[in-house]
Amino acid sequence: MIRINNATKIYENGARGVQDVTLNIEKGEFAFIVGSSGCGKSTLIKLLLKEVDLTEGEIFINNENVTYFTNKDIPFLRRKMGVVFQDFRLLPNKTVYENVAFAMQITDATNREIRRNVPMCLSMVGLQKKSKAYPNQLSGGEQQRCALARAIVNNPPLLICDEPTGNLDPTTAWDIMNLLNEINDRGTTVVMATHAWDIVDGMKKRVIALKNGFVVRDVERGGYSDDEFYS
Amino acid sequence: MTNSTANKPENETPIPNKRSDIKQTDGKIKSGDLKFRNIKYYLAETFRNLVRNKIMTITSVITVAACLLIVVFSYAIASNVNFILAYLETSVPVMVVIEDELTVPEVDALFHEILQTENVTSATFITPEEALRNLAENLGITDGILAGLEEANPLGRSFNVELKDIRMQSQTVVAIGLLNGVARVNEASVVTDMLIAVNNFVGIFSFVVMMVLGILSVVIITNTIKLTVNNRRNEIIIMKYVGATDWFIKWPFVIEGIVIGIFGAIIPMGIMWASYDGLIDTIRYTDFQMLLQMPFRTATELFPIFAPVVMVLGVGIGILGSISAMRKYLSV
Repeated sequence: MIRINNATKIYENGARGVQDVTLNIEKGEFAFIVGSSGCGKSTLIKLLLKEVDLTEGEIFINNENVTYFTNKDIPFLRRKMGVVFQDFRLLPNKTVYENVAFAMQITDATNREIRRNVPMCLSMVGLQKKSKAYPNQLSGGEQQRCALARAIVNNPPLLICDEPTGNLDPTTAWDIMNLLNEINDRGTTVVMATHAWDIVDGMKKRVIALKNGFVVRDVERGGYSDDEFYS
Repeated sequence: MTNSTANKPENETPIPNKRSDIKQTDGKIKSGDLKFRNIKYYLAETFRNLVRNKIMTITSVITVAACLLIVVFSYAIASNVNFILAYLETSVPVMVVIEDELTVPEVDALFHEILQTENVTSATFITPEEALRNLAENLGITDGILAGLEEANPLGRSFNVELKDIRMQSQTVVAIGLLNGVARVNEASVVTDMLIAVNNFVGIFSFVVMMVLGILSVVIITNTIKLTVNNRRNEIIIMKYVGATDWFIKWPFVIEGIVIGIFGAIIPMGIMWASYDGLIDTIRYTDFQMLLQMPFRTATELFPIFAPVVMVLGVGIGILGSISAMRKYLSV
């Protein structure tokens, strides 16, 4: 699903985002990207979203070399992946339904498809009764569920999550993780950058640890720290 | 772990799983940027933006309208000066005074020579009596002050010569002056020179005014839309992350610019339509007798020419303004 070959990103101010990262994330995998602040997690997510360009190396997503994608190609790449952020990033003047529908509206989806898929996704995340609410009328957890529904409504093969539980209390965070797990069980590849050690330890999924931009650990069923909890 | 699993009665109704739900061509989902259902969305977004920023919207419309109003009036002035000039070409004749001792056959020969001169349309013979009568009429004298002059008329025989192109009057006057039997040629050079100068000035002035005001309008619309775009920056970023194309995001703003442009064009057109004829009458009935005889263009004549021009200018300014406002906000 994702193949990263010797990826290096050096920003214009000389800061090093990631250095010589080589990764292979298979279709249907659930992978955590962990590490302390400034270790390169966000840069890696930005590279996958094509928000920033690589300095060196190559990135393949779904067997497509996206390294040299132009601005014109980027929207089409992003439609093939769902994105969930720590701060939810919902459109404030649209209802829950409209926020989810918007992700379909920008594609070639017909009104019929939108009317069919959006309620289905809202049901899945448990927001069917709040479809007419605006983001500011929702709790943090509900907003994140809405963001999740938006991310999966086009049925992307890849879901990228940047600290999706960062703004949530532990119980709500686990709700979101359960949903992500369920989405992953249905075949969607999930890549999640996080600081939440309890979640990483509890999920027992693949863990890719970064330090100073380098991949320092890549364990199939690992924990957050180096303790090799599961070894 | 949590009770979230219990909240999922739709386990039996999976999320859309068919890849056919997303239409793909050559690995890329084709964007339907200008499809009918999108147009509906763009229009709704445009209306929402215009209402949300109504003060700025009204300010932009008024500014564009004011700029276009000046453009419209500059055009009306230029058009009328041209029209009057064209009229004068046929109505301000050159007077060719002929020598007193010329015999009738010689006058006849001179008449034909004048007609053959380049830039001459026609020539009319004026007797001294007619010349005196015309003078009295032009001066508005009716009480016979000039009656005594009829016996010793100082005015000689002459030809009134009409020209094809008044701008070539000087050359034509020189050519006629060289003909045998011509005593002198009186040209209306002061009037024509002034009109030509006014015409040139108005032409250049209206062009400069149009350019300056056009640029000014673009800058103002750009700022208005920039303000809207800035307010909605986060929304634009979200749209970009979700996979919206630049044009999907741009269209509502472009339509917003077009709407501002259209209203900015309709207002000066309305003002022009309502006030033009009255304005011309006011000019016509000033103390200048000369203006009474001058023809002016009517609103019905001018409207079909300037209405589409002003509309295109308004819409063009709107589009340019919105596109230039959007440029730097889409690089996410």
